[in-house]
This record gives sequence, structure tokens and C-alpha cells, in this order.
Amino acid sequence: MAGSLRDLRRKTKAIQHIRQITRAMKMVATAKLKRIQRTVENSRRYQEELRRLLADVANASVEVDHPYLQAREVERVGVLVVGGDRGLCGAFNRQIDEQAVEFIAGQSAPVEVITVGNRMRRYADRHGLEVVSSHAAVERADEPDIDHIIGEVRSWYESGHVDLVQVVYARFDSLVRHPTVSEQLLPLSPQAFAEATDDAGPVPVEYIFEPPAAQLLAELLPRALEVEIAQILLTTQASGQAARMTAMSAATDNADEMITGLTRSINRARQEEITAALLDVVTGARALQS
Amino acid sequence: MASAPAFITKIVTRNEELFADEVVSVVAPGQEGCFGVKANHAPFVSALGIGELRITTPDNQTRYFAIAGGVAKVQGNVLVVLADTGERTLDIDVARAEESAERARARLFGAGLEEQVDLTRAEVALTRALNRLRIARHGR
Repeated sequence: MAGSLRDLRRKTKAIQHIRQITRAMKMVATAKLKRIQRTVENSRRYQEELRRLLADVANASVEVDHPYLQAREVERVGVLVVGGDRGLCGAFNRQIDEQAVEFIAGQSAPVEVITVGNRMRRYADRHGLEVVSSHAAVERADEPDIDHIIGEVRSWYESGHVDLVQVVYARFDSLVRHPTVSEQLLPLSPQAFAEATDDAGPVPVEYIFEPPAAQLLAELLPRALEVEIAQILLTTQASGQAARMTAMSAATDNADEMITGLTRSINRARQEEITAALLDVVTGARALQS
Repeated sequence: MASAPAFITKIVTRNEELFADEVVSVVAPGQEGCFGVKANHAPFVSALGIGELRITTPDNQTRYFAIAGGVAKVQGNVLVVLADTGERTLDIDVARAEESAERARARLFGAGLEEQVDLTRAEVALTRALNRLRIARHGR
């Protein structure tokens, strides 16, 4: 009897420790999420304005001749898979992996992969994919890795090594909504940009362009691609932290539940012990009396 | 002075929104020369070079921003400036700008002939640093 009471106490203590850790992890995730969210929101303004502008310019110029806009015959497909570095964030990484696998399975052309996030590298290796390069997850707008990734994707496509770049990542809409999405990154489509902005649709406006629209577009497109990629990288990490927050919050709640149950068992066991001891005393006394 | 009609101006960089308010006039560093914008300007898109962007507010104050590259769009009495890099006058780090001007100068003029120097890049860096310094000096 006494042994089981000690066991229960030990178990409770262990769960209390785990609860402390999950709570701390939740708080860390919350803080990180806030920071990344701020960065994402800040650059979202720029992204939206640039998208709107691109849609305008693309609408205005009749003959657009830029490699980023030309659809080539697809002989090789590049996939940029963006996920997290670590686990303990629920199904977050697995969902991204599943989405990527689904896309790759639907391709008839050979596929190459660039991974961001250590987990994604591990998944890709497990699937036996051809990984061109892999990076750790990026959480800050000023990390040099962002520029490396942008550079790699650009030369990947510009050199003609791949004819289409798809990106699989987790878009951050809100704390509870961060869907995994699979989108075409290159060639770019300004029409899709126009749809993505909250406008009702591009209103045809006769702009004066300086320099001419085609030249302007050639300057804007690389910028747009850079912003899109940077935003994808950061927004995924925001989603990852949100997923971790939810997971750790649930874990803390579960620990609370277990602690409540265990505390009840401990109390019951203690009561039983006392009752047994009392019974012993009473029966002992009775025996002496009679 | 009679108040001139105002219009909205937004200056946005990749990392932050520098300015968003009503203004009376803006002079911006276009790639092919400076251009001015007042209310009811015709729809206009221009690439930006390196230089200063001057804003006159409705209460007749002047504010300066250091801009290096980007694009500006005027449409429907809204001017949107998408700057590659941009700083408010007060945010300019004078010491850092001086340092980078010095570095760029050294690269431009100090390097021997046998050394491979990316002259264009050094020149751009120098222009950028000098621009920052100039604005920091007269903008305060």
C-alpha cells in the first residue's frame, strides 16, 4: 500500500516537471511567433504594393519578354520545400512533407528539391529525393541565408536547369489557421498577383512609365521574386511557431489533467492507509478490552 | 500661404513603413532625374535612383528621406514609394555612412591596376554613402 503511494507521488512529480517544460516551450514559441509575425506584417505591405504595381505594369505593356514570365517546356521540375528545424509542433512538418510528396508524385518530369528546415531534409532523404541543397530554417529578415536561398532559386531557374519552380510551405493566416500550400513560384504570373491582392481587380489605368514598361518590369520582377521567397520563408516559421504553441498548450492541458487524476488517487490511497491504520488501532484496543 | 491641395504619400521598404500621411508636395529621385509630385498628378510609374526624397507636409514642414533604388507609383492622388532601402533623416547612422564612404573611396582610387575591383559596385556604394551623409547634414 505504502509502496503504491510513493509510486503515485513520484509519477506526479515527473509530470509536473514535464508540464513545466511544455509551458516554457509554449511561452518561447509565443515570443518567437510575435517577433516573426511583426517582420512578416511589415514586409507584407511592401509585397502587396509591389504585387499591385506589377499587375498594373503587366496589364499596360503589350509585349512582355522576360524569362521570369515565359512558360518553358518542362523537362525538369524544381521544388522548394519549406518547413521547420525541430519537432514538437504537432503535424506541422509532416503535413508539409505530405503536400510535397503529393506534388512530386504528380510530376512526369524528373524532380529536384531544395529544402529549408532540417526536418525537410530528413524527410527528403527518406523519400530518396534528389536534394540539390538544404538550409536551416530562417526566422529573421536579415539572415544571410535568405539571400543564399533566393540566389539558388534564381540561378536554378535562370540557368535552365529546371523549367518550373514549385514551392510547398505553410502560409500564416492566423494563430489557428496556417494552411499548407503548394504554389508555382516560377515562372511568375502577375495575373495571379493581382488576384492575390485584396483589390476587386486591376483597373486599367494609362500610366506614364519611366523607364519604359518592359524595362521597368525587368527591374521589378527580380525584386518581386525576392520578396515572395523571403515572405514564404518567414511566414512558414510563423506557422511553425503557431503550431508549436498549440501543441505545447495541449500538452500542458493534458499534463494538468493527469496531475488532477493522480492527485485524486494519491488522496484516496492516503485515506485508505489512514483508515487501515485506524482500524488496526481500534481492533487492537477492542481486543485488549475484552 | 494658401494651403495647397494635399494627397496621400506612403513610403514602404521591405522591412517597414517609413511614412504614411497627407502631404502637399514630394520631390523624388527618379532614375532619369528628379521629379516632383503634387496633388492630381497623372498616373505615373518611375524607377528610383539614389538620392533624397523631400516631402512638404500641409503645415509647411519639410522632411527628408535617403532613398537608394526602388520604384514609385502615382495613381488616384496616392503616391506609393517602394524603396529598396530608405531611411528617415534621424535614423541615418552618420559614423557608419562615413565609414562606408571611406571604404568605397579606398576601393575606387586606392586599388592597384592588377587588382580586380568591381568598380560599379564601389561607385554605387560611394554614391549611397555620400547621399546618406548629405541628407543627414542638411535634414536636421
